[in-house]
Amino acid sequence: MIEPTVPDVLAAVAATIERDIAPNVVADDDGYTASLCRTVVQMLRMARSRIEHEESALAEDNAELRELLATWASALPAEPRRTVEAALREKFAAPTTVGRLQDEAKSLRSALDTMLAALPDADHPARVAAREYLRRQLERQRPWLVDAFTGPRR
Amino acid sequence: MIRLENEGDVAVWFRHRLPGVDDVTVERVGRVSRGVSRETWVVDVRVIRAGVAAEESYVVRRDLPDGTVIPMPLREEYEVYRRLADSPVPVSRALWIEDDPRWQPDGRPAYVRTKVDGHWHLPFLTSDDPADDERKIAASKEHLDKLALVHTTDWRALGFDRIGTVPASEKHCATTVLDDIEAWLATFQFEPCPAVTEALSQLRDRAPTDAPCIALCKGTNGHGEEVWSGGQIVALSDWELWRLGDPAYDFAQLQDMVPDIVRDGRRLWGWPEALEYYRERSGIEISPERLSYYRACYGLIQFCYAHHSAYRVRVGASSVRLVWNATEVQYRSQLKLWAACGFAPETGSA
Repeated sequence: MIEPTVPDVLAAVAATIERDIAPNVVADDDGYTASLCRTVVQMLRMARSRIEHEESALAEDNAELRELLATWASALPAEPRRTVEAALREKFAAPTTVGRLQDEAKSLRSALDTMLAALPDADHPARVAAREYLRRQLERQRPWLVDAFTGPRR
Repeated sequence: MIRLENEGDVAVWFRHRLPGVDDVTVERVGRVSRGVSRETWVVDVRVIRAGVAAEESYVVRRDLPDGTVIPMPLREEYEVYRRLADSPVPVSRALWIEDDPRWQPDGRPAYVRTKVDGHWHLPFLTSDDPADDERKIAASKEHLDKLALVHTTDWRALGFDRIGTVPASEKHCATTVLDDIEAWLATFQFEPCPAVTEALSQLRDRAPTDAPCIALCKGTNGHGEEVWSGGQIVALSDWELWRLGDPAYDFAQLQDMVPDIVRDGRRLWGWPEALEYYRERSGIEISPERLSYYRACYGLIQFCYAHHSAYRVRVGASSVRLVWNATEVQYRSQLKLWAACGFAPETGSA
């Protein structure tokens, strides 16, 4: 079985809660259960979008961050430089592609933390480049953390 | 075990704890839908005191089954209300914290406070009808009056220095916020977040040193946070982000209570007028620079509690509200940081 896909299933669950269950929630609890239904529906929408977009977003993000770290490692003092270079050499063995990309992202982002902490001058070109990367990182997450939502979350 | 959803159990509990009552009958126990960070329950009771019957309502507060969103202990929240009980600041009266396991509803710590009659919603605030202008300005002034009251309270006399961080001097108010944030994060941050590292670095570099005083600050405040009745705030609620510091901290967390009103090109109300009104009432100046600074700090604070939610999920919590905080709210906190640190995304106006 290939279809329905996981996003299809999540969409159906969200639609059923929203269309058939939530309107009939009449618990005498000041609207708390109905409010929870709204949160659940929007979290399902987020999960559906994340499944669709996360792998490509992480692959792109890791590649950009890897290049940034490789470019600026030489500007760092010895100790943080070793930390950054070790992160660039690290291999990941998680069983799924997304799992590997997530592990790689954690390692590279930790190395970026090290780089930022080692460069106290906010105007250093590496810090400026890091901020540009962070801006794009935010944009990459937008599909599932902004665009996916269709209504109130509570 | 006492079950909070069982009216008979709650009656037994209240008979045991409520001071000066001959008898208690619980009419209703219901959970309040507002409030994400902790559970809030309302208990309506009929009590008999010295042979006289009365209808009363109480609030029970406790952590979510999976822990809290904001990493502030329940007892600290109780202690804030307890300290304010005899001050001019209007709050509901904290009665007791249930630390005896035999009486804890569902085996979880809880505290009880009086319920103040009123409502949180001011529907006219979003109106664009000129007929509502006067009411909007009056409500804004009332809120500013109450903030002035909080900020001029003698916090040392009330014992707030025993439950919160006291900045070494006015000059240290801003860096103390950052120190507290770093101390918070050190206890639960499990995932690197370079945006936070960058923001902390920038905000430390440009921390203002001109706070006019060290004041009791409420934290989140404004529409949705306070109890209103007859055009007045009768109880200031939600003190989970309280601290001792620069009053600008509170203005950075003020929600919807400074409406911008311009009619026929004439400015009737907005931030400059509100800050001037507040200065007249309190004697405290809030500069735009400090206001802007603490707005950026609020991005860090929001990240802290959103990441704390993620931490709770990581260690086994399964509340969908924690998941929401851990995802969308955490992302939005970074939007605030990125905007404040000069690298907002071109498309990110969420």
